[in-house]
Amino acid sequence: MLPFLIASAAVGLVVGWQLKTLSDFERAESSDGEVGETSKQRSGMPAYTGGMMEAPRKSTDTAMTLHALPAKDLYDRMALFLLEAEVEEFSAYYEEFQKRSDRTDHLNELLFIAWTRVDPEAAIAASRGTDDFNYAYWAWAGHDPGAALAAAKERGEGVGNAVRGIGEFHPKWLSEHWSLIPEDQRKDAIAGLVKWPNTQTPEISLRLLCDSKSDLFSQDNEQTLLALARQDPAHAYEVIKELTKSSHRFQGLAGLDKFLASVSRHDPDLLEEIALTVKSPIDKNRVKLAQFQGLLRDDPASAKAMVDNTPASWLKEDLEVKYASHLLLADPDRGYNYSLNYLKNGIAEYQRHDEVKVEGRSQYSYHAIAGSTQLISNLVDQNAQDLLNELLPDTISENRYMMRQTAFDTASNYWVQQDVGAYADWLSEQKDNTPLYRTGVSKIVNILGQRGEFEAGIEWAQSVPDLENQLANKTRQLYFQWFRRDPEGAVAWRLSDNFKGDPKQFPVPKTIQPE
Amino acid sequence: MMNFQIPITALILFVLGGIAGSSLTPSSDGEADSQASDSSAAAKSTRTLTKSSRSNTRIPGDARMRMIRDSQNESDRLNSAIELAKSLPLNQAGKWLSEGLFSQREGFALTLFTRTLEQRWKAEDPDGYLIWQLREGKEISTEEMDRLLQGQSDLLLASIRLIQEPGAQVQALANLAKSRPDLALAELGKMDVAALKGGGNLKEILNELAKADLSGLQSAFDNLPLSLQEDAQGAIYGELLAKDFSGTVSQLAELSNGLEVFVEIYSNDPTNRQLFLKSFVNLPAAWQKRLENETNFLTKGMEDTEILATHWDSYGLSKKAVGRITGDALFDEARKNKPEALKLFQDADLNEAGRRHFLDMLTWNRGRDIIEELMPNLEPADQEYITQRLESTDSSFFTPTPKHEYQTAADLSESLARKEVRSFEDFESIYLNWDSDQKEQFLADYSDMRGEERHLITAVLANSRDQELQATAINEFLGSPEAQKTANWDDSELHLLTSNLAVDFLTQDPDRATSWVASLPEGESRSWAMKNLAANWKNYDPASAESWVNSLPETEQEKVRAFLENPGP
Repeated sequence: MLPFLIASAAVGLVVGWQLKTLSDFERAESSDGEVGETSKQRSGMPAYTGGMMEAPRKSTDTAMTLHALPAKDLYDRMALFLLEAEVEEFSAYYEEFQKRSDRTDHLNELLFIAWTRVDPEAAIAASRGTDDFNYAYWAWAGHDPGAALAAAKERGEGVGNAVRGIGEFHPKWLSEHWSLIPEDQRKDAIAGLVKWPNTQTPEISLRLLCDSKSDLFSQDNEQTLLALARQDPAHAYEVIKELTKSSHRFQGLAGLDKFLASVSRHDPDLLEEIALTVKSPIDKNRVKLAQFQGLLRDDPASAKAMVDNTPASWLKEDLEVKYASHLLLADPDRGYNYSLNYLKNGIAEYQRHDEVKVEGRSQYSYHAIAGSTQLISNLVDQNAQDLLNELLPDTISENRYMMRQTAFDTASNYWVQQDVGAYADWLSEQKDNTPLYRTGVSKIVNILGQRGEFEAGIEWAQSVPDLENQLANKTRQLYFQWFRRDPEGAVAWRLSDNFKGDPKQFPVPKTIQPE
Repeated sequence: MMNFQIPITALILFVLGGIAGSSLTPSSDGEADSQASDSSAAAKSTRTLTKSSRSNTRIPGDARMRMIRDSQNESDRLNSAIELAKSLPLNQAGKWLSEGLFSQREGFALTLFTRTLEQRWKAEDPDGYLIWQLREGKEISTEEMDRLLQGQSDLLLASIRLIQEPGAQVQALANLAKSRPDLALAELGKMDVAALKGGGNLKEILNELAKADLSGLQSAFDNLPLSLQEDAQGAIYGELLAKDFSGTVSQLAELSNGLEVFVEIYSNDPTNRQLFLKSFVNLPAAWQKRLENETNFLTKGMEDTEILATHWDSYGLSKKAVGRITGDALFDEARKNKPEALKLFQDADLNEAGRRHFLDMLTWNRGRDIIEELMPNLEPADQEYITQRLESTDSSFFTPTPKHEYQTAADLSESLARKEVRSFEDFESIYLNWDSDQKEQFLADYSDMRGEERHLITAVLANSRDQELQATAINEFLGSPEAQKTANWDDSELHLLTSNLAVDFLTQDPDRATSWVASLPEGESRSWAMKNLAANWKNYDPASAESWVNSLPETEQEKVRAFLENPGP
């Protein structure tokens, strides 16, 4: 009755309860109430009795009023009530709560969070043998990770739940006690860790994810990455570089790009700060690219000006491609023409050489302009035939890395993969251009072979007059591939009138020879 | 009426950029944030020392969170969390939840804050809450989507278009497809499909479209972007299979890629997989034959343990096919868990074909140690089989490569003398695993070495991935023709190494690159490094590259400019 009276008297205060007031109580607390405090220290203690004065109760409910509420209105009121409940009240509350037909996962969690805070053993005992048992060690680990994990291991029960709870509620403890987590339960710890963003100690979570070979840049971690950048942009950049470190100059950039994209989405001003600390010219350009993406979203005219004002360089090409992709979506016709003009007349190398050259020797690798493959596939989706006609190179053998030719090749590869029939129709009209026709046929033959359309593939290969070339070998490859998959079918074709090659090159095993 | 207007206002603010632009308006928070501003700037240089206690003005809501984080006990934090969730202006809810502004991560406060705020938002502004959920890529029910479509369809579509994260956008479109496939299809047509594909699984949308309006998707098929057609084909046939399994199988059998489409559908759905396996004997004969040869089609999407627990015989597969399936799965498992190999083998109870396939796989893939352990437990016929196999197989196939376990520079030197270190990667992999004491010991040993022994190790270091070691080693080579001779390097090898390191430095820090190059002794290697530095720098930052070239002595400048003009073949 007393708690009820105190609670009633406090109703007016609860309405206007300010955090500042709370904070005053907090400062008055003398006990060390870190999250790891034991249940014994808490057990039976009324809330907000720090020695200076007793705080008013925040809950105006009784167990009865709560049991009468529908689940959708229950969470906050049940939380306030249970945070102040006496240890002996839980058992009865749980008994009644189990009768609900509208229990939700969140409410179950809440009950065990509150119960294990004051009496974990009672919560475990009461739920043993029920589905609710999963919550008990999970919640206990949230209050006292060391005790919960030790008990679970010793008793051989609930270890996965305890470990998951540790990941969810104690990233720091997890990081410091990683070796205590059984190896086969570590995935549970990581699953718990990524359930919530870590905007308090983001670096701890990111390092744990990295050590456990989890994806640092999944959507789940976006807020964690953002928090790292907000706490200290320069340090955040260093951490991302360290965690994505690679021996290759251009590896690890995808991770950096995702990080920068998250920052650009929520807090673009931070990119300025990051740019000031970045020394690597590759990374500087990635930061500029992320800033450009923000401009495309918020101020396309300024984005266009940025493209125009950037001196000729790899960065300018990256910006051009991003701008073209943006325009293609915003205004498909204009975007198509802009992109086409760029690909047709661009002087840049589509496949960049990252090259070191000394007398008589060189070492190099290639990497494409950022976003260029995506742009080309979207252009093919829009009008493949026109695109290929426009990009048609005058000769196939000139510098094959020039923009137009490589764009043509990329578009052809994409089109033939997506719609071999339409590509074949287009190619049939290019028969006069022998080198181009031969290259195109080779693409078709590869696709048909992959799809098991061997006879059609062979027919295409043989449509090129010069059988001494590479396509003759392709025909043989197709025959043997066919033979492995369907010997009878392959031999039937080989012995039919459709076969036109050199019989010696297409042997028929004696065991299958017809009599 | 009033209750209706407030949420809508909040909603519009949310969608039109309220999230990005809104500042935290409550006076206490604003006050605390602005008061903290100066001290934050002053503290910047001592960031690492004061980070935990200092207010961070760049983080929205930090002042408010600091009060919660500074609470002395968990009770206070939990109550404060609930109080904040109940008092926060609702038009800030999206920002707090989407950006993780509640930054008390240790303990339960974040859980209580989030659940309480979501419950409140859902009750006070249900449509705004649903739109936020959509934007976050969370699943919402068909009923909820229908409700939004009735009252807020324009806002809903605008919100979906504004989603920045491709995965979330895919999920939102999949949700929309359940209720309004026509709208989802139209929206999909307006989006950057290639970018969406990069961030999410478009099959989710297409499967929902096929479920909600199969004939609509079929008629739209030809007009879909090419890159969607394959997934759309899978979605359409998936739906048709669910309605009429055997009739659809017959249709698929007519397609050249019918089996591939079929496998893709069933491998993503355990229910379909069961149906497919049970119907194996009724599949077209050509499919059965292919599946027995290409058994990976049958096991696609299955874990090894699941494969081993499946009664493949009961589906009418040949003993040989069953043997290959189970033998492969057991091989994968045994390789992953060598100490358990014998138990796994005994538990798996493979048929004869399976046992022999398993033993063959071990023979061909360096599994002799496992075979030796299994041997006493094999049946005599299997023992004879594997003995013959081993005798007829080149022993190098199953002999593990010896490991180089050197600990010091002297060990490395001995290995080099015995020609045991076959590649620089050997050194890398061992060096990277050394602790700092071992590395220190190595460097001390190395610094005491002289002559041929030292030159050989220097050559290894010049190729290592540790750039400081590399730089030191290259410098040593540049001043010692004798070292170069011992390592059997011609001049171009040294030029290439020097230029490569200069460019590596450039990609991390141009100042480091230019100062290192300037410190090199005059000569051809330095000259090539300068040329390559300028040529690569120009790609990233032409102005800085030009400015550096201008700063070079005239003779060097000429050589660099000539190279930039004509780098040669």
